Amino acid sequence: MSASVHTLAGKTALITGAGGGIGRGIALALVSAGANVTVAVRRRATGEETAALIRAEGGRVLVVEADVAKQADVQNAVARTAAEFSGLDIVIHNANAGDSAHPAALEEVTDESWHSQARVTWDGALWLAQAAFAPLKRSSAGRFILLGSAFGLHGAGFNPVYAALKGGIKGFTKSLAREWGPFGITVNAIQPAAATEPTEVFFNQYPEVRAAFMRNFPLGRMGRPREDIGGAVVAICSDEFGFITAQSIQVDGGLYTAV
Amino acid sequence: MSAAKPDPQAHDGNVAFVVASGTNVGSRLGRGLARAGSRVAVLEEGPGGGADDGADDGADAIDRYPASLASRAQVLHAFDAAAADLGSPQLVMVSALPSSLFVPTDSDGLTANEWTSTVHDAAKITLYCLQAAHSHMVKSGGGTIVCVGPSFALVGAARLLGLSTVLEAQRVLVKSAARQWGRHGIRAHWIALGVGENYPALQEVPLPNGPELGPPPPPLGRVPNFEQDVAGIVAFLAGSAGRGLTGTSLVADGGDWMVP
Repeated sequence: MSASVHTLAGKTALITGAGGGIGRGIALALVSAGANVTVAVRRRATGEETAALIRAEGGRVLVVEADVAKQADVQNAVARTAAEFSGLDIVIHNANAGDSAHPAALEEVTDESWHSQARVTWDGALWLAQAAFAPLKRSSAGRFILLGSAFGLHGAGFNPVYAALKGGIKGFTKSLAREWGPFGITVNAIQPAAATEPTEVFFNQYPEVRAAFMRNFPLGRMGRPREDIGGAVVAICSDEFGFITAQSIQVDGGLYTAV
Repeated sequence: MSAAKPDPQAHDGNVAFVVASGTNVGSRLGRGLARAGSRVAVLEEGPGGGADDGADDGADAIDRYPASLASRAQVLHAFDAAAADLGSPQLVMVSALPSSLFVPTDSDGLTANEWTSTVHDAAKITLYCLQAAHSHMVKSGGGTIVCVGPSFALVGAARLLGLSTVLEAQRVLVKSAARQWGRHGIRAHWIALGVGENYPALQEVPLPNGPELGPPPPPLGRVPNFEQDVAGIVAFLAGSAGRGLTGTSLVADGGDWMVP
């Protein structure tokens, strides 16, 4: 399915952490599919960069500064979106804490390092769910999508806090889907494997790791944020995927096949 | 109930720590492990923490320690106290979840304080127990860590958002422990236990029954329990027969879900 087909015309989406990387790719894919998009970002400048790309393609976009760890910020982002676009149909929790990409020894994890990531990944998910519940109920096809990680399936030698929080997102997804099913809202998680700026920096430092890692992908490459990850999100948001809920979906080129 | 013969499979005489909360969970796990041949310390939080439940079968091989699980330092202190009496553990079992997590609540009714004081704190209890186990096992040449939680977490349940979130996080913390600490001879596993009478707080909650048509019970005709079934599985995992296993999620629900 091409994201250029306007499968989401008239729909409104809010996406957190869309100031770059996967979040920006998803935002652009949603716009290509015809959706209005709110870019919720902690730093306005990054949101405006994404908004400029969206406007250049003729899309409608709202930038809202929001720290997803703060309930009031999230409530404000949802309220402004619903007011600006007369409703809200799609919510995507993509934001990650900045230290989620740092290695950590499990025996050295502190309360502070736990909370700095959990506030974004878990608290942000709950605040979004609570704030968006009413408008999603009013939508004819509400979609709530959370960004998980393959690390949340297989654990991590690299960053165990990130992995645990993403594992928790899987449980969050299943239970919220069961709770919201009667209201016609689907809840799904995706586990993406995408090439973004941080992964490029990492692989440029360790080219031998890149070569070894790429061999793990049956498709021979990591995903593209807009075309591959964003395309999958558009598909999940489409009417054709309206009967799929409570799932954790691998969007990873076949990287993790042990499910 | 008659005492089973001790499992001769290399667990006889080993030291097991059981970190538990909930009604008699520590006692039930402790007795089961004691019958499998372990010397057991039950580190128990909450009302009745450190107290026997009155059953004496295997209880003479159990030492009890009231414990606070509120911080890493307190958990480590409890481990150190038990180790001072019994020696460092070769097996650590964790079945410690705050009772408030078991109260069904609509997700939009959760307050910020309820969320952080139950979900975050519950996840950190697992973290602290893993860290305390590591601090002892890394010095003593390894061991086995097993966390146990209700099996519904594998499929989710409405109005139990926090508990589902914590349990799946716990499962992944265990996998990460297995990945990071395998080189120290530390193995780690997670067991999903069917609800039945194991989790009284969930008995009135409308959990998903299973994917098959018709009502329960599960294919085995009963829900496995802490004392006989989980203790037996853990004795296997911690024994020589389990030396090639780590990072596993075992489902002891009598065959309800048969997850892929």
